[in-house]
Amino acid sequence: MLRLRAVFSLIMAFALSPVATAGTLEKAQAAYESGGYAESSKLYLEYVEAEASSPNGSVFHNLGLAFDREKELGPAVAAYLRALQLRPRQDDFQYNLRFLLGKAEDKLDSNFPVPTSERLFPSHIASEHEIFYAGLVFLVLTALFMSYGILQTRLKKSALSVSGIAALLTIYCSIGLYLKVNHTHDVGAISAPKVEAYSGPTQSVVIFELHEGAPFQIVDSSGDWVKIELSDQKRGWVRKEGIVSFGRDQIILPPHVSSKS
Amino acid sequence: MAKIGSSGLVAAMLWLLSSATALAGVLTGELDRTEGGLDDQFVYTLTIEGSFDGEPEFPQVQGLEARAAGQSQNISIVNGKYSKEVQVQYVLTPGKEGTFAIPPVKLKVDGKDMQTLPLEMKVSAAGAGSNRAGSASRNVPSSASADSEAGAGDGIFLERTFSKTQAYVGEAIGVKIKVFNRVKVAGAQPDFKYPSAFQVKNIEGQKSYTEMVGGNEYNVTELDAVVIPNREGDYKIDPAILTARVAVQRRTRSRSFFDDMLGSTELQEKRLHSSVATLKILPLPLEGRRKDFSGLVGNFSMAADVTPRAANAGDTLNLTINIEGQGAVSTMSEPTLPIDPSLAKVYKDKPDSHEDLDPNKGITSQKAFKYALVPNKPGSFNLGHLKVQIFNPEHAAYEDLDADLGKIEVSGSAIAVAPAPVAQSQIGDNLAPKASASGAKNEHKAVEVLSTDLVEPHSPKLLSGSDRLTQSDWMVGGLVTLLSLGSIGVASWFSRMRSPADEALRTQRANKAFKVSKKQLEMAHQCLQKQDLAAALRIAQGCFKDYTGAKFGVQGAAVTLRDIEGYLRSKEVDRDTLVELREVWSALDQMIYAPPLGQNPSRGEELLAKTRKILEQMERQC
Repeated sequence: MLRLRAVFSLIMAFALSPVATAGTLEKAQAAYESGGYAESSKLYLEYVEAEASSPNGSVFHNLGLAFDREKELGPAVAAYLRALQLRPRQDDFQYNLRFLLGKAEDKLDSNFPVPTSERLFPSHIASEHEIFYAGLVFLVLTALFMSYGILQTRLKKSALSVSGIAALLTIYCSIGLYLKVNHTHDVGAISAPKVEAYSGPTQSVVIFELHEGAPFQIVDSSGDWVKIELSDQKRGWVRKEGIVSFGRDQIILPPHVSSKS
Repeated sequence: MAKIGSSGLVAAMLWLLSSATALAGVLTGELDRTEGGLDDQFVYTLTIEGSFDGEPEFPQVQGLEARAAGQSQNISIVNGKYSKEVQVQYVLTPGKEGTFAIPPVKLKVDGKDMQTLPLEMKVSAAGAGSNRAGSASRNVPSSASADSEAGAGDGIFLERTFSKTQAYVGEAIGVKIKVFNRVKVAGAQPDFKYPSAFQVKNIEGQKSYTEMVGGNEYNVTELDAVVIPNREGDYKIDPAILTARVAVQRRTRSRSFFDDMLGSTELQEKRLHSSVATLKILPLPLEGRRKDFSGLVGNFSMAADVTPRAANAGDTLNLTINIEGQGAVSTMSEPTLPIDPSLAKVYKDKPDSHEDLDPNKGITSQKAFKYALVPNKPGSFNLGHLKVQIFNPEHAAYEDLDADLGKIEVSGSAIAVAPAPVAQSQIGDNLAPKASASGAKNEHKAVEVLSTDLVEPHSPKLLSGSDRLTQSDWMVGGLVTLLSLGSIGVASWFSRMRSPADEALRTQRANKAFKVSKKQLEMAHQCLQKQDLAAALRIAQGCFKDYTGAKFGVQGAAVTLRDIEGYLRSKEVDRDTLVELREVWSALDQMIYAPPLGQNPSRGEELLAKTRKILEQMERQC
């Protein structure tokens, strides 16, 4: 009896949690529409943190808009960078990010350097879903044509050739998905008015300065420091307290933003 | 009783008499010495025994500056005798040479007008003080200059030593000032002056130890410094002066119980000074001095290191240049790095420097320059040699410090030198980036209101769901994969199941291939016995075709020698068998299609035997 009750509780909790988070989104949207941008961004942040394992590009889009209305350029850029990482070809995300980067003081874009070996694969131009389902489609085609080639003697060679090509495309998509899931760097933006980038994770040599809204990708981290890379391939270490990042595994928020959530 | 009464009366009379004696005041004036130098100070002590009205005043003496240096009071009751003694001290500083007459000091003591006796003091030229404490017996290092003079003699004097009397501009000179004392010193005020052409670095803290001078043990206190001349010339260094407060025996007429209890010493101010010194400062020679002269004067060494030596283009390498040695580094200019700017960008950090001051050696210093190098392009690059010119006073010549920066290995692809600007057209009509990553401002003007141009938020319907792969996605993927692989497996299985009879027949035929061939060869023998050589040979050649066709599931009639060889090679039949096969096949062809004149049954028999042998070998190996 007790076991049954526990199972029931689990099922109820599972069933009710999306409703609760969905309610948060409704409230956030309502707050945004009524001009309560601070409240809206706070609710969206709560949702993002609660649903960190299931990020949604549209939520980051809305979060970025709310931050922008609050004149929080850095967090807004970081939200759009994350949204575009989830849906790289979404037009409105691209447009809004370009718009926000235009407001930043540093002339930088979001086309971060990608290793040559990874450029061959679709990990930076398609979402996880797109790559995954494309791979499944190619797998199904492989199976269909191979089965046809096995069963029919007519057009056997052609069927097996097409099957081979489809199999290669399946492998191509699988590698692309692997890279997308495991080799995508977290992205973020500068949230402080000015941040100095050092040559190492100590206050050693200042090699360049960045200003609020400057986008970057995180290539390494050490304690309170992260190593960032800009679109022009400059690299340097900055303190976490001056940046904002909605990463896959961790969210870095500046103190004044994190205190909201 | 009367006797007792008369005795008490006498005692009372005696007591009153003694009290009356005690009430008679005394006023005396004393000088601690009557002769001295112009740099000396004299102490005048005014002693008042008894009660007095008002404050005593020291009379004005031309050429003599008098300053009150304190007052002490001593009250004593000995055997019922009460006495009070006050001592007032004046420090007299002569302003000129000569003999000074100090007039009497007047004061009303115990109701009577009293005055001291007039005194005389003789002041001679500066530096000719009457008392020198043991300096004549001191051994002064020959390489250094020392000057010492006791300002007040009697157990305290001052000595100043320079590590060198001749130096180059920028060369550090150690200065050692020693205060020797055998008396108690309550405090001291130094007054060490140097010409403005010298940079003075005082060494914090003081050393204390004892030293024997003239057979007496002195406590020594060292006050050290290092001076660095900025300009050439002959400089006269003023005497080092130290005003010390020392404890001296109090001048009292009688020792009382309170003297024993409170101590019988008093503090006096002594002015100690060294003599004048001369330093010769030489200019740095023009000959041999390059434009990139670092400004270092001394004996230095240099080391450089780059870490790591291998990196990707765009990564940071740390270059550290360490310069250390004898001499000051604070004036050193930035070294010029020999690095080609097209190879790497160089970012410099604030240098670290450290100086240890030593009165014997001057300055031992160390300076570290740090740079961040960001290579632009891949390759193996030699960073070159760094040269820093210094002036070594020991050799009186310019020298080069040399450090090899070594090689670096840069991998990866070349990086852009300047950040790529965001295209104007991509941003919007009223927006423009304002500055580069390096912080340089451009001409674009900030726009206040931008939000209305942003694409509006997505509706809540679009906000649900995840853009990352969820469990359900993986389940769908797994299912589709299983179905796909399953479909291939089913197709293969169905393909196999569709023709089981054909397969069985093929196997049966293959198994019986050799048996059939033997029967065919028997038929060939029968033909040979019937003198039908051509038929026998055709049957023999057909044996190869049928055997191979049966083994590999093809029609034997369509098989050629090349096919047979191909099949046998796929079964890895040995080379000798293949050669024999080819020979027998050719012989059979020749006998069938171009028979020699006249029948030759023995040749036919021979070929049939060879055919049989080859078939046996093939059967063994297939």
